[in-house]
Amino acid sequence: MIRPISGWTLFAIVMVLAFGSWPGFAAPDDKAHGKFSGEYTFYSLSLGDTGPPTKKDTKVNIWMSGSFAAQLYRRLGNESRGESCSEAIEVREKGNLVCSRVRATGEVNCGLGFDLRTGKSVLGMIC
Amino acid sequence: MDGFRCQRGCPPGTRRPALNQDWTQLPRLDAIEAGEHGSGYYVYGTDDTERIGTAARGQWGRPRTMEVINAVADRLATGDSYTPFGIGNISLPTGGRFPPHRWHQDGLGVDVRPARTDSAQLPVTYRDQQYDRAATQRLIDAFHATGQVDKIYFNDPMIGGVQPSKGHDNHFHVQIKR
Repeated sequence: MIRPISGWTLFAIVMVLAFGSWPGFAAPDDKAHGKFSGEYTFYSLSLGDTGPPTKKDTKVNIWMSGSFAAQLYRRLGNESRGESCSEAIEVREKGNLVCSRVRATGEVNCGLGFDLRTGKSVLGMIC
Repeated sequence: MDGFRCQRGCPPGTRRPALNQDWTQLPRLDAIEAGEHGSGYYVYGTDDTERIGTAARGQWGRPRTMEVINAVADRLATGDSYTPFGIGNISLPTGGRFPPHRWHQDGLGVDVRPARTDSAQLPVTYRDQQYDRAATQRLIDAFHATGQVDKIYFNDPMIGGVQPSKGHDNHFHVQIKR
């Protein structure tokens, strides 16, 4: 005997179908909180041609890697596809947050920067 | 261009490159005599103590990449007024991730400074007074003339043969064909 689907069950199915495969939705093993690995660099001028940090001009580039970067990449979603510079990678970016994924290995790295004079974000990765 | 394949008994005017399998380190200007093959460029970047821009450590590439750089240098190194152009990051030794670059891992991407009117070996953006648009166009044309260039990313809308890309106001990125 076929039982009728309740409203809440139907709602749950719709949500899974709609958002379970929705670009940018977290994977089952993603965590909302955790530690991450990465590195930083203080610099002046701009990311493409840097100088040493100075009193008047200090920016920081934060380079994120590992599972945190992979999670960022997933959460950014397909709709944020960015300029890849090479066929070897896929890029997702929003504003100054940029993540690149190496097609061959699946390795993901993300970058974000801040201008410490203004506190505003600056580009995190370049070609 | 064949000079960069020379390993032993190199003829005059060529230099033996440092090789790591098929990776080659770009020879530095201070190791090259004026007028010699490769003297048409200079190198820039921070030293090994800084992470972004690693000077010589970040200037490893494929032999073909070095051939392109030398072909451009040779093409432009005519006349008394010519000033060497600046070569920045290529790849780290044998590749691998290279913060803050999205790629720069295959030895086929080269960062190049635009030309300056004062010939100083310093950064310049295409919005600066010291920016030399005509010389930069000649430089970009010389890269395309090698027939080995896939794309060049640079933001000056008045320059031909390039496409815009975030972060490319003060250098252009040359992607060599695979």
